Amino acid sequence: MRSPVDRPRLELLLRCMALGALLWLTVEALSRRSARTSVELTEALTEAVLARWSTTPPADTLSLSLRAAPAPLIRDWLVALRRADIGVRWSDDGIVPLMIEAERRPDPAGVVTLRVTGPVGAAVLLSDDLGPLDSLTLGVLGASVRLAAVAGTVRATIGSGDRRVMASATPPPIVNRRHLVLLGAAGWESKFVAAALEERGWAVDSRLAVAPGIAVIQGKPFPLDTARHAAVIALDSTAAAYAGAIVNFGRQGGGVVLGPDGASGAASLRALAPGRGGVRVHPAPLSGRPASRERLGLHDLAPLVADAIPLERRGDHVAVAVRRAGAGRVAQVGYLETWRWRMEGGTDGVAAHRTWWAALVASVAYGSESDAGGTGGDPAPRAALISALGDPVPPASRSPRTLFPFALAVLGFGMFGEWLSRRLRGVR
Amino acid sequence: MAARPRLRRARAVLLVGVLLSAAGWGIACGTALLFLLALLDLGVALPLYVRQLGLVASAVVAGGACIFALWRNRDVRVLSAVALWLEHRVPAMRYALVTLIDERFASSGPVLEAVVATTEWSEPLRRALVRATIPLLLAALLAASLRVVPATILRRIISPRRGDILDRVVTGITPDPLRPLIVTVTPPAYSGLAVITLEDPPTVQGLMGSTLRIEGPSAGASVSAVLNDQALSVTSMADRWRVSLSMPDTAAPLWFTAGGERVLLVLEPRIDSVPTVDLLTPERDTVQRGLGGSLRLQARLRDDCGLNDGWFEYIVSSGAGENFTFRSGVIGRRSLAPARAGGLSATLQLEALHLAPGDVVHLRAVARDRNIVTGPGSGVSETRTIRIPRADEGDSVQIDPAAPAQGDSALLSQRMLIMLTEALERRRPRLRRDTVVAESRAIARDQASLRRRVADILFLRLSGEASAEEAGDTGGTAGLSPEALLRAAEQATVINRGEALDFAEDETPVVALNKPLLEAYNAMWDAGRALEIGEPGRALPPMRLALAAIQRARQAERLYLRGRSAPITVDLARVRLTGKRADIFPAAAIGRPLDPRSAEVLLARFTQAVEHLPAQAGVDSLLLLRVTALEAAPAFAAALDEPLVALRAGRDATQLLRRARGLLLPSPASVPELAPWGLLP
Amino acid sequence: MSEFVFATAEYASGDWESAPLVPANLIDSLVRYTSLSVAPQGVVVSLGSAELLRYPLVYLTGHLPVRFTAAERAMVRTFVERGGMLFVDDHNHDIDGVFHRSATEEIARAAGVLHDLPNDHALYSAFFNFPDGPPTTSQELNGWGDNLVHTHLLAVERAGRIAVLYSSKDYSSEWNYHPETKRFYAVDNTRFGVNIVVYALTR
Repeated sequence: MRSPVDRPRLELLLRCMALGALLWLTVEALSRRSARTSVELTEALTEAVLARWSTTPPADTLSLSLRAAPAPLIRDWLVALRRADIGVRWSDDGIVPLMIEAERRPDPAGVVTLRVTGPVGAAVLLSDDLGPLDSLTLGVLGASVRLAAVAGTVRATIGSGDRRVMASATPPPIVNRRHLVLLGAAGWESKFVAAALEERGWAVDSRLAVAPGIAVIQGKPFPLDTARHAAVIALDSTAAAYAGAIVNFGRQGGGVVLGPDGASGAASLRALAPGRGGVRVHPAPLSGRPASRERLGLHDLAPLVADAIPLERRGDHVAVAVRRAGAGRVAQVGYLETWRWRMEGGTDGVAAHRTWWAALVASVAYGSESDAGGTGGDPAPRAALISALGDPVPPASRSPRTLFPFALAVLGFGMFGEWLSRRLRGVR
Repeated sequence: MAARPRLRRARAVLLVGVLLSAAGWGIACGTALLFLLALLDLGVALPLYVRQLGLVASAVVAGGACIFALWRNRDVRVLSAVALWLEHRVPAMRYALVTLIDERFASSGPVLEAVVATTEWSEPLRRALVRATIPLLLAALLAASLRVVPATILRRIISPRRGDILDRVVTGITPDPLRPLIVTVTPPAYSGLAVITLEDPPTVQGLMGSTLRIEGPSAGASVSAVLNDQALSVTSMADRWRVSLSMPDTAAPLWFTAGGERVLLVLEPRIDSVPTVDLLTPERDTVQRGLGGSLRLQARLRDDCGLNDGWFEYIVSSGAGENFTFRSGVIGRRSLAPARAGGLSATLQLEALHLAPGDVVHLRAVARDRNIVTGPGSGVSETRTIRIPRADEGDSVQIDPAAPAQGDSALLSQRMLIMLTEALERRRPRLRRDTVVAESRAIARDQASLRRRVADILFLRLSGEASAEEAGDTGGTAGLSPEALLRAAEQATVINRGEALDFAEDETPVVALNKPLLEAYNAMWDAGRALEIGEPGRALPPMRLALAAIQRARQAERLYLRGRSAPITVDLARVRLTGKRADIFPAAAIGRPLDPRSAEVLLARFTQAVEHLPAQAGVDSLLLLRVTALEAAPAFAAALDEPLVALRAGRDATQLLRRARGLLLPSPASVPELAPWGLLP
Repeated sequence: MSEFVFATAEYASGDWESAPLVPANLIDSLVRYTSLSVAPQGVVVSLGSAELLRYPLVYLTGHLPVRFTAAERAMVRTFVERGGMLFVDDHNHDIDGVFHRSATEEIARAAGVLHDLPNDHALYSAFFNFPDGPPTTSQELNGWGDNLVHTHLLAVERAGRIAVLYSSKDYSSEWNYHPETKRFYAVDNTRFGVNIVVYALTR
C-alpha cells in the first residue's frame, strides 16, 4: 500500500506542472500581444490574399514558407507591403535556383543564344510564346542553347505543380547595322564565303587581290571602323598589307576572323592569332559521299596561345580557336577550302556552310551592349526574391503555436490529476 | 349491299384517311424543321454544312414521320380490324359484323347479315376522314408560315450553296462591307476545271488566266480595291459590291479598304505545268549499221489540264570538224485534245532521210497542252541519238581532238641536223678521224634528243610518263661497241604494228598510232647509228627520209582518243615573267550584293509577324510573308494557310503557327555547359 | 589556297571536245595577267556526274544539237543552285542555229530562261575594260563574210550574279589556238576570257 506521505508529493508535482504550463501560456500570450502578433500564411500566395493583407492586415508580420519563387507581381507586392510597415519574413522551403540569359549576337537572321543555369542534372523545358522549343538537362555549370528564332519571351521551367519554377527573358530585337569586311585573294574560298554571308543577310565589303597592285573592291572596306564594320575576315596572306589596321580594329572591339593563312605574312597578325599553327591534315577521301566539315583538309592550329579557347577539334587537332584581344575577339579557322563543303556537301551543304560561317562571324562580331543584352522577363527568380526581400529566415524547428495544445494538455492533466488524487485521499 | 363489300368500302375510306394523315404528318414535320432552321439563320448565319445537313435532316424527319404514321395505322389493311373499329363506333351492331366475317360462324351468316344491313356507319367514316386531314392543314399552315421568312433566307435553307452568305440580308443590321468576302474563281475554259466559290479565304489559288469575282455585302460605305498599287474598279449593287479581275501572273496582295478598315487577300496563281513526255522506243542511243531500214517510235504523254497535240521531231547533222549542216523534220503529228493522257507512235523510214556515213540523227517526242492563256506549254522527251558510222571507223571509237603534234619544231630541227651533217660531210676530207667522230657523235646526240621528242608524241602511254627509252639512254649507249649498239637499236625498233610494246623498264603497254611519225622514228634510229660510228655520209639518207616522213605526218589524218588527249602544260613561271599590259582596269566595283532569300530571313520575318499577333497588322504581315515564301519555301507557305484561316476566324492559332515555324526552324543546338563563345553548328 | 582549275564539260549529245586548245590558251592568259593560283592544265568533267561540283566554273561548247540527259539536267540545276557558273559558247557561226536553239532550250529547262546581258554589266569591267560589251570575234567580222555580229551575250542570273553565261560569238574558234602563238597577235583576243574567270572568282 502506498504511503500517504507520497500522495501529497505527487499532488505538488502535478500542481507545479499545471502552474508551469499556465505560466508558459501567459508569457506566450503576452509576448505575442507585445509584438502585435505574427501570422503564418498557410493558404496559397495569390493576388487576392495580398489584396486582403494590403487593406486589412491581420497581423504585423507575414511569414511565408515558399516552395517556389513567386511571380514578379507577387514579389513586388511583398516589397510594397514591407515598405508599408508590414513585416514580411520568408523561409526557403526548397525553391529551385534557376537562371536564364538570352543573348542575340549580331546576326541578320536573329539567332538567339540562351544560357541556363540551375541544379546539376535538372530537366529544363524551354518554351516561347508559341509553345515548347526544346528540353535539356543541365550540366555542371548549366547549359547553352542556340535557337534560330524565338517568338516573344523565352521561358525556362523546372519542376511542376506548386514546385514549378520559371525563369524568363526577352531577347532584344534584331538590330544589324554594320557591315563585314572580307580580305583575300580572288578565288573560290573568298567567293563562297562572301556569298554565304551575303545570303545570311550581311552586307559584305570586300577587297580581293587579283594581280599585283590590282584588286576587285566591293563596297567600302577601308578604313576599318567599329561604327561601320562588325568584323573583318582575313582569309589569306594578302591581308598582311593591312595588318596594322586589322589589329587596331580588333583591339577596339571589332571582330577578326583569320583563315588558315590569314595570319601569315605579318608578325602583328601572327601575334593576334589564337593558334601558332602546325601540321597540315589532308582531306579525307569522299568515296562518293557528300563533303562535310569533318572531311575537309585542315591546318592544325595547335599549339594555341595561353588564353585561346578551342571551339572545334578533330581528334588531336584544333580546327577553330578563339581568344580575346583587347576589347575585341579573334577567331581562327583551320579548315581548308570550306567552299567544297558548300558545292559538294549534298542537299544540306549550302545551308550548313552558310549557317556555320554566319555563326562563326557572329561569335566574334562587334555588338554593343544595347544590341546584345536581353531586357524584360524574370531571368533569375530566386535571386530576385532574395534581392527584394532579403535572405530567408531558417524555419523554426518547433513553432510556439504548435506547443500550444501540449501546454494545454499539461495544464489540464496537472489540474485534474491533483484534484483526483486529493479526492481519493478524501481531502477536499 | 352485303356486309363484306360494305366493309371493304369502309376499309378503303379508312386507308385513304391514313395515307392522307401520314402525308400530312410527314410534310408538317419536314416543314417545321425547315422553319426552325430559317429562324436560326435569321439570327445567326448558319454555315453551309449546317444548312446542308438541315435539308437532309428535314427530308429524313418528314419521311420518318410519314412512315411512323403509316406504321401506327397498319391495321387498317385487315378487315377484322376495320370491323372492330366500326363495332366500337356503332355499338348497335353488338359485334354482329365481327362475328359475320369470322369464318367459324358462317352458319349464322344470314341472321347477322340482316343485323348489319340495317346499321349505318357512314358517320364515323366521315369523321375519321376529317380527322385525317388535320395533319394536312397543319402542314399547310407551316408552309404558309414560311412566307414570313425572307425569301433570301428561305433560299439559303432550301438550296444552300457556297457563297450565298451575301443573300442573307437582315433588315436592321448593317453588315461589315469587308466580311465576308465571297470569291468565285472561274478557270480558263480550256482547262475543263469546275468553278470554285470560296467564303472569306485568306488566299485565293487558281490557274493563271482564271477570272476572279470578289463580292462583299453592301453597307453604304464605299469600298476600294488595290492590286499591286493599281486601283481596281468596284461595282456597287443593291445588296453587294463586286470586283472582277484576272488572276495575275505572280503572287500578289489585293487590299480592300472600307471606312477605316483594311482586309488583305493574297492571290496565288498556279502555273499550268507543261506536258510530261516519255520516249518509249527507241530505248537508248544506238549505232545504225546500214543507211536503210525503219525505226519504230513510241511515246507516252500526260498533262494536268489537257493535251492539244504531239509529234516526233528529228534533226540530222552531217559533217565533221568545223563544217556541219543540219536538216530537221516532224513525223507522227496527232491531235490529242481534250485528253489528259495519250500516246504517240510512228515509223521513221531512214531511206527518206538520205543519210550518209558520219551522219547523226537526233530524235525526240514533243507534246503541247491547251493553255491559251500564257501560250501552249511544250513538253519534250529525252533525245535519242542514232549514229551512222563511217566506213573506216570501229564500232565504238570515241574521238577527242588531241593537241597538234609537235612535229613542226621537229621539222625545223631535223632540217638543221641535215644541214649540220652535210656541212660535216663536206669538211670531212680536211679533218682528222677523231674530230669527225666527235662532231658526228655530237650531231648524233641532237638526233637522239629529237628522236625522243618524236617518241613522246608517237607512243601514248597510259601512265602519262615519258618514254622509258629515256632512262639511261645516253649513258647506256655510250659504253657500247658499235656492233652492240647496232644490235640494241635493232631490237628497239622491232615494232609489230598494232600490238602493244613492252619496254623492259616500264610495264605499261604502249600503242603506236601515227604511221609517218613511226617511219620518221625508225629513220632517226638508223641515222643515229650511222652518226655514232662517225659515218655522217651514211646518216644523210635516213635523215632525209625522216624529214620527209615528218612532213607527211603534218598532213596526216589525226586520230584522237576521247578523254586521253595529250595535255598542254603551261609553263607558269616562264609566262609570268612577261609582265603586265598597260590597259588593265585597276579596280572594278561590283554591283549590288546577293539577294538574301534564305530560310533564316523568312524565319526572322515570321518571328516579327508573330510578335504583332493577334492584331490585324500581324495577320497582314503573315499574308505578305506567304507571298514571299511561295517561291523560296513553298512548303512553309502552304503551312501558313491553316493558321491564317484560324486567325481570320478569331480562333487560337498557336499550335498551327508552331507547326509552320517548325518547317523553317532547324533543331536547337545545345550543350550541357555554359559555352563562353556561343555555339558553332 | 585552292588553285583555279579550268574545267571543260563533257556531255553526251554533241562534240564537246571541238575546242581542245581553249583551256590551255585561257590558262596562259590568266597566268600572264593575274597572280591567281592556277592549275597548269585543264580538266574534262562529265556534265552528269557529281564531279562537276568540284569545279565552280565550267566551259561548254560544241557544234551539234545540245540535248541534256536527265542526269545532266539535274546536275546542271544543282550546280547553279550551289553557286557554280556555266559558260556556254556556240562553236558555230550562225544566227539561231541548231546549237543555239537546242542549248538555250536545255538551259531554260535546267537553270532558267536566258536574257540579254546589258553591255555595261560588271562582267565587262571585271578585269579588263570592255566599254562596248562583248568583244567581237574574227569569225563574226570577216571569217564568213557576212558580218553577222551578236551584240549581246545571254545570261541566267541567280541572286544578282551570273549563273549561266551564253555566247553566240564563237569564242571557241577565236581562242582555239596554241598559247605559244599568242605572240603573233597584235592584240591578245583572250582578254575577255580573263574577265569571265575573274568575274566567276570574285562574285
